[in-house]
Amino acid sequence: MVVLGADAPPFGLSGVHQGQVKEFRLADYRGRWVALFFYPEDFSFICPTEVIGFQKGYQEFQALGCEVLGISSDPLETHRAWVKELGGIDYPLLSDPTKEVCRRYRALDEGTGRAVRATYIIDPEGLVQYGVFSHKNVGRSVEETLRVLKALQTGRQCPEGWRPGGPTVEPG
Amino acid sequence: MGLPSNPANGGMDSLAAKRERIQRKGRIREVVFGMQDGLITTVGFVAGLHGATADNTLVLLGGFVELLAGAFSMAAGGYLSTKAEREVLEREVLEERRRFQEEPYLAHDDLRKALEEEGLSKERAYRIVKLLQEGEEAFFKTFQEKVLGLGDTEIRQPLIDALVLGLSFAVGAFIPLLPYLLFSEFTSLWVAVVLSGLSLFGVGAAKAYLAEKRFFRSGLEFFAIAMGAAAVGYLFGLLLPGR
Repeated sequence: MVVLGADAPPFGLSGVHQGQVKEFRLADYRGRWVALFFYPEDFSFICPTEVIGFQKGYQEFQALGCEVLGISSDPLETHRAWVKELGGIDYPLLSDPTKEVCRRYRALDEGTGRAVRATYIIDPEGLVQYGVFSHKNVGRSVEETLRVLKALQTGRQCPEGWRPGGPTVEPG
Repeated sequence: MGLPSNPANGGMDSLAAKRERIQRKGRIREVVFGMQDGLITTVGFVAGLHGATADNTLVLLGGFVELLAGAFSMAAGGYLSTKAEREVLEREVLEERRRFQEEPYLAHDDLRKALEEEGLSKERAYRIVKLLQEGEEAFFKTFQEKVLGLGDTEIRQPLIDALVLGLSFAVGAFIPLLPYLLFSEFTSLWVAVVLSGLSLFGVGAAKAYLAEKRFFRSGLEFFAIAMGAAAVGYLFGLLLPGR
């Protein structure tokens, strides 16, 4: 089970990345930050804004030493068609057909059998440092994820509404 | 208003004509209900009045008043109930349209899911919704049918329903009265009862035929109901201090 400040539950899933199907293991990202986001399904009229949002922010995530991974329970073929439909996505979309990873990350809506909108930030040591859930009708803010990532990377205490470059406090 | 079929398209009706034909067939419910009610009420009423007075003029007078009152009551009831139903459904559709205008992507997603439930793959359902988005009205009509389960045929016309119900009642009610215009006191009641019984058998059989059920059994059922109504009416009339 996922716990803040503890090891992120390990996983290995197949995913689509730049037209190729590859195996992705969380352990392979040790030493880098990871923004892990779960979303309900491909070919939805609600989700694409988020998948596209992470695509737009992807360069910035990369510049901050952070990988982006998207996960839903859709099969790989659907992921591949969806990526094509969206005009190409630079980060991997992972497929979790058994929903085991979604469940381990408390990101499964048992009622619909789909992933909920959950986002996690995992630090280079593989520890969960941030997690947020959103109602299915409300898309997440990629900008907010970037803001939190930058705040975490300061290693200092950041007050409410902190903006990059703003004052921070030495952890006591 | 049957439009002539067009030989150029293989004798197929135009879409509007096809829809109208189905809509008209759907009114069989009103016709059967109106006629059966007209027949049963009037045969019972006439038998009762006959039992009490044995006077053809009185039976005719009373019978026609009952026919008019019954037909009007049926029409009014039909009008009000259809109007109420229509208002509820229209409100529902209006509310959905407002939601659709505020958050179209939710409606898009609902339609995509509905199409998936009908067996299309996620990707194909998505593409169909994408195509439908090119015409707002086309999209909303499809949404209305697939997601809300409300075709335009389901939203009924109160005035037409009222007219069909009232007229069917009047036609049904006229049948037991007809013998009183033609025969003497002695024969009119029996002719009226038999004629009503046969007509109800016909209504029952026709309904069963349209619904593809056993028409003889359904006809008998209706026939027995007519006989029962006439018997109860006549016996009750005998008990009244009319003669």
